[in-house]
Amino acid sequence: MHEDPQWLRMRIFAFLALSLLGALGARLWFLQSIEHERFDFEAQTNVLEPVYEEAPRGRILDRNGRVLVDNQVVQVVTIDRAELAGLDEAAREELFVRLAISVSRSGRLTKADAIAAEIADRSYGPFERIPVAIDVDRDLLVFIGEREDEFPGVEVVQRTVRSYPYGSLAAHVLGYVGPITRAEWESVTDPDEESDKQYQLNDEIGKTGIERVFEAELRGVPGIRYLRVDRSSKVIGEDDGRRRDPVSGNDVWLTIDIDLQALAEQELNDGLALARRKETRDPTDPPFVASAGSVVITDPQTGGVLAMASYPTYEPADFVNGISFTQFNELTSEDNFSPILNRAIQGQYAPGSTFKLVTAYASLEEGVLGDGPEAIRGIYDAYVDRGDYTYSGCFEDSDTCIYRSPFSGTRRVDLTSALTVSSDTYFYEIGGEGFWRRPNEDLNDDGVTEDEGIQKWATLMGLGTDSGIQLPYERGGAVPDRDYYRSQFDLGVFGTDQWFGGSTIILAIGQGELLVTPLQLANTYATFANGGRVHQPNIGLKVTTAGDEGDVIREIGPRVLRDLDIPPEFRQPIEQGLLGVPRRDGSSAGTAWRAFSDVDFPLGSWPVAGKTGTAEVQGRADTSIFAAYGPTDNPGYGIDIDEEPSVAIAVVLEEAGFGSSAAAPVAARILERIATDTVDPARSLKQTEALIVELVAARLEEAEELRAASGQDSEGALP
Amino acid sequence: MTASTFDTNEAGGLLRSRYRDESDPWWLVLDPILILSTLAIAAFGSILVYSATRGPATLIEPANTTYFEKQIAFAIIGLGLAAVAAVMDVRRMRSLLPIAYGALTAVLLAILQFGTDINGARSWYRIGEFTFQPSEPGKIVLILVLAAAFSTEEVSFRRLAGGLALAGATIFLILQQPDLGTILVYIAVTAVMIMLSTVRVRYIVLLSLAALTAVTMIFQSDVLKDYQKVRLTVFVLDDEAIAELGPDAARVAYNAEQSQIAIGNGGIFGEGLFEGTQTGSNLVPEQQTDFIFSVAGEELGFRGAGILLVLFGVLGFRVWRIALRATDQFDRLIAVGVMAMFVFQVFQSAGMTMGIMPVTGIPMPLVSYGGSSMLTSMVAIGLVLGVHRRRFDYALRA
Repeated sequence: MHEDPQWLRMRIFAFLALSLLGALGARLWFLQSIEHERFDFEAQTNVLEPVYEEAPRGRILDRNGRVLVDNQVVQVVTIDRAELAGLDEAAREELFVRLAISVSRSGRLTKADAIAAEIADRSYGPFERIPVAIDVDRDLLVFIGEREDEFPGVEVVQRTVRSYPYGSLAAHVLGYVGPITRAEWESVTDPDEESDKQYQLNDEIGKTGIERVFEAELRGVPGIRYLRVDRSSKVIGEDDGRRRDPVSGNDVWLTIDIDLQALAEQELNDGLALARRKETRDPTDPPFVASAGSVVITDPQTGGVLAMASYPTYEPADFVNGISFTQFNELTSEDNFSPILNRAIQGQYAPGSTFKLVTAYASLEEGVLGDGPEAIRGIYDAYVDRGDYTYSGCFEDSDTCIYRSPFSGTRRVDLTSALTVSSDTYFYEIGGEGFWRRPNEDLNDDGVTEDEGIQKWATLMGLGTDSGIQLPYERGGAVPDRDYYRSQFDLGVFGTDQWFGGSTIILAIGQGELLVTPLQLANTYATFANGGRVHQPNIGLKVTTAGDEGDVIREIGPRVLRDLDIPPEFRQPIEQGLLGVPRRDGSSAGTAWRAFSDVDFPLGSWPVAGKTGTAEVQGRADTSIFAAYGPTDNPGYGIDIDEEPSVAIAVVLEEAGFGSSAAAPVAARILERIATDTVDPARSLKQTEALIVELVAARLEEAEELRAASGQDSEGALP
Repeated sequence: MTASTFDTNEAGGLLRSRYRDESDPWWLVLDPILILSTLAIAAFGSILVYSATRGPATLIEPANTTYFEKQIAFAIIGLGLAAVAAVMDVRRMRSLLPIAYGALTAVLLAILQFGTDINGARSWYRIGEFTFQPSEPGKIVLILVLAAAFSTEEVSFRRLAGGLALAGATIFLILQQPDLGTILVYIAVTAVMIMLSTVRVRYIVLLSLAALTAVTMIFQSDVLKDYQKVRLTVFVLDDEAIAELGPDAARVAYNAEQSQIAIGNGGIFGEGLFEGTQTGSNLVPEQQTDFIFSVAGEELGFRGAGILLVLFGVLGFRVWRIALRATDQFDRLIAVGVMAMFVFQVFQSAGMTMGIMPVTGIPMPLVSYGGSSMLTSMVAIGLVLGVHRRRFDYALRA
């Protein structure tokens, strides 16, 4: 009846479909019934447990390829938790004691309790070997290896840890690594995304400095091995097919020149030591504590940081094998002046007179000085400095204030010489008469209130905000203005939200609530030096693949935030004023001339434009500051060199007195080495060690010779 | 009486059936067995999805029900769409098919530019938190377009070539993503629909020979990337041959092997729902989607997985029966296309987990997790129910 071809085809189709389903059913029966035994066994022996192996971190190198942070292989005593589970309580305790004794004998003091505590640490997986003593003596490897039955589950393995060939040099820049915390782990782990660099709970992570900022580059790809484990958690093999070997992290090169860094740290240290020894003029004045400070050296043309020193400092190596709580507290304690702080980016200081560069520049840009209608005087017009400045209406209209300065007597100054001799009254007047407009005097509406011209240009030069350097926890300083006052008043920090003329006057000489970091100060001088390019300072130079011949993955070029394009007619008089600071010209002397003449500075071939600063701090000795750049070509002093400024420097010494007496000499000594190209190569710890050995050997030889000589003498003298 | 071709029998269908009476209740036009088997499979699937995605479910971390809830929601939305598809008279909407086909090709073309990559294939659009795979509903468009193209008294060579070109264009676009599994479904659907159309046998023979040559040539040429060839062939190779093919092949083979171990481990009675050690420890990849059959195999054993296959058998039989009784060729081809799609997808997705088909992931219809697949499968069932319903319409009008 169904001879229709359609009917036939439908039957064929049904047959086809049925056979496909039948095939599935047959296969299912085969797998689940006939082959079940085999698969059941395979499934039992088939739970794969991943075991992770941390990859070596990338190294950190200076701009010339000298290794600042390296990896070093150490011996680590580990215990296999699974094997430990087979022991009873007493046997376990006995093992811990025996192990603690052996480890302690080899030179690393360890307690049985400490080992037990490590074993109890839940952040390790059940098949991970748990480290109980790190960096033990090599001999222990053999000792324990030969006594397997005495130390069940114990194995001495090798592990790479951070090493610091230059010791504490640039510690604040480099930062340190430590075990990842749960909060950190959560912040770097995206549950929806599988990453090759996935962190395990006992992995190391960069905590501060370059180690933190370049974590993603420095961290390698951890290796994974899959152990075959049966249902009773016994390891019965390894799945080699899925094994992944660890891949080393990338190397990070810094703009730092380690020679210059060593010099900066040495001079900072010495400068503070000298300052501490000085007596205050008046015994009732706060003493020169001089226990903290910072030096920052940058390249004005690129914004690269060449050296960044912060005192007091610390040994990053202390963190390698885990740092104790007390030890860490000592590093953060204010009684010890918080060695952990990187004062170059975290110390905020009133810049004092070094800020006069900004005030002077703002005056020219805003027409406060010059030939314009708003000008209070021409650039080269003389102002009579009588040592203090009287201003009525400094707060309320009825108030009259007298602003004093360290100078007494009478002198005539123009913009240039006011900078050279650091005349406060000249700048007070710029603040009071030039920038400050009494209430309801023509305020324009270009977004910046016209009488906030100093703040406008300070902000444009990069003050008041983070510089953007590749280092964590940077602080931005503060450029106070009306808004800032209001916000601080709302926060309850300031007692008033009112901005007065007196505030502008104080601001003009870099006092009051103005705060800068040493890096910002150096960057401001660098900006002026290069003609107005505001850089985001770089500390990273490039990233390469691991190894001495690594390929460049990424180069970090100069990051120009904005170009102020400082007109030469503005730059010239200001720079001339700064050039005078380290000089003595007949009777008039710059504020830093003594510091520079003390080191016979070659000002002719390497002209320095700088400025001293002395910032008052309530209840403490002054902050001593010096900022400068060089070498620079300026017709003012008949200088004729064909060079662009290549160095900008900021030196800040806390509680150390005048800028001219403490900070300027530090800067002069550093710049002199740069100018004469005699920066000594930094010595690594190994070199220092070798040097000491050599010195001791020489002394021994000397003594030997002396003894031999005197022996002969005495023999000869015997009757 | 003799049943001849579809259009000579006023009662329609290759088999006679009873006419509908005015007094018959409205639900007579429904096929309850098809509906029940569909619901049973969807419910079965949701439980498997839940088992595959609930996680370890400890006191601290309660079972993850997101996938489960979404899957149920998809199924409910799908039932609604199926009802719409069943009530619509698709035959009268044939004029809209060129637009639907145009839209499909446009969407498949645009996806290469704007799509989202998942597992190395650019087959998805991301809309908010949802991803949508247009090649899934594209199957429906393909079935309707081919049904329209081939529903003539005799399919001429030109018509056949035209239909092939239409199918070929979509297949070519999906090859660019590339989504090998979906391409296989498209090819299977097209092949079955040609075979069951009124095309002459000699063309079918000719076409089969051409296809065989094409497959050989494709494997010789570079149309398929190496890893795709590996995926297609790895299931027949032994360990040594796999080792020679490199790490990708090893991983694919590993997945396939783990899945077989899981199913073998289940035995006759299974490890128990939520108790699968293989699937529970994530040794089998993509358990809630492409490898879902391994969850059924391990946790429910031959008993449970067999029931699932039987349910699919019942569903397939009902669709086949509806095709047989369809009143015109367009309707019949729709049912045949849907059946081809179901049978092939079930065979491929279950076969892959048991090592008798290549490792190219496609969802098991109504079972695997995923909105695009669930909605498409439901609409397909709805269309078949529509075919079933129209048989009575015809009878009533007559």
